[in-house]
Amino acid sequence: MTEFLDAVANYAFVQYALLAGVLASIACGIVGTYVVVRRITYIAGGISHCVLGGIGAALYFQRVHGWAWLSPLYGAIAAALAAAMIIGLVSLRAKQREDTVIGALWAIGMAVGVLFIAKTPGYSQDLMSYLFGNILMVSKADLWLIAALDALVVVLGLVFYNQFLAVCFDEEFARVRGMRVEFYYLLLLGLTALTVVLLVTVVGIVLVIALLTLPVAVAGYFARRLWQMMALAALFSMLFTTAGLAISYQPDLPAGATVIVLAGAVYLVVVLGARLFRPKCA
Amino acid sequence: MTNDPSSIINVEGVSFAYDSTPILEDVCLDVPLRDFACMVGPNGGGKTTLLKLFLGLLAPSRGQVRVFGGSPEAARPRIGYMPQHAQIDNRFPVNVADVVLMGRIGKAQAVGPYRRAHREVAWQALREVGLADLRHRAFGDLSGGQRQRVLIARALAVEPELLLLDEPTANLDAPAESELYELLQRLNARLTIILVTHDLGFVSKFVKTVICVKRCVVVHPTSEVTGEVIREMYGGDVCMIRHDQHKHAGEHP
Repeated sequence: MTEFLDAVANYAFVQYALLAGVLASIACGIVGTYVVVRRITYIAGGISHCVLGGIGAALYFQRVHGWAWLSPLYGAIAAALAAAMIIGLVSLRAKQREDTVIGALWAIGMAVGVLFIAKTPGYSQDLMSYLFGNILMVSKADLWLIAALDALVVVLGLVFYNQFLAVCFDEEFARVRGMRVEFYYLLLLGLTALTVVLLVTVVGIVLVIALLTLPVAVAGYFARRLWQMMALAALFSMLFTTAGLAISYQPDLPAGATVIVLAGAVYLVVVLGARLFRPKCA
Repeated sequence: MTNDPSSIINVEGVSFAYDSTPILEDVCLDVPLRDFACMVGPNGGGKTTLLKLFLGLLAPSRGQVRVFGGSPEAARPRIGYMPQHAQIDNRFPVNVADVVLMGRIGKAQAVGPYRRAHREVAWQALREVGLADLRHRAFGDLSGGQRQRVLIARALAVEPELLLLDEPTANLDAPAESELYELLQRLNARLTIILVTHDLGFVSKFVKTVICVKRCVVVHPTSEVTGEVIREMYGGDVCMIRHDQHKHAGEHP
């Protein structure tokens, strides 16, 4: 642990990693809560896997066609937003085919990413770090983009708190109250897409869903209102990312996987604790 | 049927089908001001569909629905609506105040916490259903009857002239049910109320009109609801003892 603290004090890349984890956690707490109570985890999963397509395409054009400005993070944002809008429109228009479309998009997004990365010289090794995260590779430029995305997601997520609460709790009632329910649904998917991109920088594509939902699931055992759930989920998420990074540093474990295992372990303890101390629920 | 100026809902020749399955056929109906109407009928008979046509949540395949003389969408600010209980997740992290305040969503400012005037309307609605003390309780910790009353308070927080309730008595025990009907009877002094139920036993004691919905619609003043009417409706002798109602309602195609 002292080695980790030394590293925090001395190395910028460790500081960036910590900061990226904390920033992503704030968006994660707010948007993750909406995702869980609205029960669209599967949609978030589809969006996160499509991100690989965007990353792969950005890497390819950056490397092969010399578009130096096209950072993989831009590709990730574009792919996530596109996937969110496609899934959103499909689920609004053709309800019975929703899960099929999400499943297909999920796999197609990954396949596109794999194809682009295979044709990008020198980048095949990086596939693992996009899939499972490599938070220690966050650069200063990445950090600015992460901060900007985070601010956008947090502001929109909180400004429309009443609307999102009403739509998530009872969509039909909200519609009768004259709300543009479809608009808020698509906005929520857009925020989910941006949050997924933030979390991909921390734990990678495959592990995003766990980081989006586990802090909320833990918070759900303590929170009685939606905003409490958000605040607690953000705190738990910060705890998991920071502690995961600290634990993984010295033995050189993959940070993303450590974060997720830690989150899963805490969730398990909370579930079991709730069973032991509150046996009334059947 | 012509437009009766005293009626607030006017349904003319309305048919509705899900895909190609007809649910309602050539329905004509007028609901007068201050009516306390109860929609009864077998499961799948079209009660909820008719309610959603009143709200503009569904559009008729033929015919016209007018509410307060205009389109259902235009009438929404004047309608308080309580959807079916099953639609709501009891473990959702909200307290009673959060739920009731949702009734103000279309009328309050777009952003930020609800202002005092809106909160006052919501608390008044809570007092009206007798739950003012439970404002800070978690919604999921309430009993079934309390939850139904919170959802009615949410509908009242709209400051409606018309109250539409879908299965408000589902999952209630007998005392909670009569309490609910007494509350609705009080509200009927100033509101027009239409509720959906398949609970025939309580209908006659409280409501003014019975709307029988089974593909087509027949309206009876409550005094006329006899065993004959009910037999025709449900296609068999329906035992009026409440314990048996589910069995009979379920048998009908």
